[in-house]
Amino acid sequence: MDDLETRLKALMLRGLAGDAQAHRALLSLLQARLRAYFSPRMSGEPADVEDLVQETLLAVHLRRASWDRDQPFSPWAFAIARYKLVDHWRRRRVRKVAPLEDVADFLAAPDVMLDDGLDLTRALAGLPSRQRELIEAVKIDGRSLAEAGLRTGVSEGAAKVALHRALKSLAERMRRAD
Amino acid sequence: MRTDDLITALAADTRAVPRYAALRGLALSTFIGAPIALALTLWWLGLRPDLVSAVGGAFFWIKAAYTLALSLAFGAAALRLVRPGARARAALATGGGVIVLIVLLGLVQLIGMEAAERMPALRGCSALGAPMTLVAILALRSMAPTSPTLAGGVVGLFCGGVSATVYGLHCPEATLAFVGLWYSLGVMACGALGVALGRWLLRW
Repeated sequence: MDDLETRLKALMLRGLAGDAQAHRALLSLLQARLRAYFSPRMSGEPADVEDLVQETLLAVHLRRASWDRDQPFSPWAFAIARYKLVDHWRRRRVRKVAPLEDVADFLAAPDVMLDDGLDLTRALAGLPSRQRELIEAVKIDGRSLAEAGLRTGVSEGAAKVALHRALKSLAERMRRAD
Repeated sequence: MRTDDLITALAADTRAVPRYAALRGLALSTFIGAPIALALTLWWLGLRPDLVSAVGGAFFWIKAAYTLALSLAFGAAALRLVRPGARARAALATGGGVIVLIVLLGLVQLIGMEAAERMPALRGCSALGAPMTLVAILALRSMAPTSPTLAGGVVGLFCGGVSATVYGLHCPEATLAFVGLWYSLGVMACGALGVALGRWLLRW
């Protein structure tokens, strides 16, 4: 557990310095933790679990400046996951409480099978075609931004800005879904 | 869309993230909001006529110390409240305690005070702090408060403290009763504005 926290924090620090490999590894480790946290709390809604995992990953990515580097990483990530869970219940008008469990529980819960997310697919379909094509190009065998930009007919710099905007707009659309 | 695909897209958006984003947001809003409050004081309210002699007296500085202490405590609380997983109890208790202290000291003086000039102080403090509150909330939109309402309110209290300090350049009142009541209410009005704006603009 402490070992996982150490790894997550090290990866987060490298990601904040601009290391995309480390950032990717962090998000991959985190997705399993998030799924394990959400699943037992949302029994009977497997597609919703994946939606929530994806919405939380977007929030972790877009709001990573809100993490204080002098603090442990897990309580921050856990607080984001819990906020997204409570927000999901609020939107669905479910009256439940998410206890402020020990973060240890968040780190230690067993892995669960993954599914496709529906909300993200829907949110993606609602993006302007340019942004959508860019995300498609980047995600398919992880093309570099320069290549993806070339495919959609823009410079690397412009592709960078457009991708960031597209991700922000995806996060906003997912938050307003259902 | 599969989660792995999303992660690929997110990783492609990796860039270096500068430190102290929340602190820089609050500093930026102070550098924008305090001059706006000062400009409003100069051109709308006017400086107090006895400013030069007042600066030599103790109460001018007691007032400023009170409102600055409020903005320091609530500023520290705001910096924590916009971060998931951080607690702000100590800073909130300090700010609340300072208000209670001044109000209690003021109550002792309250008997026999005139009613004049009271509403203007509430209106002045809140009008001076409103622009800064809006700027500060906008500057913190990339943060992640897990309670947008509370975080917005505390950001408003911080801005109210700064603007009440500037308001002291206009207002000649020199009693703890007056400052404890009307300045505090002016600061709280900014807090209420922050609550309303936070609910709307700080959700994520």
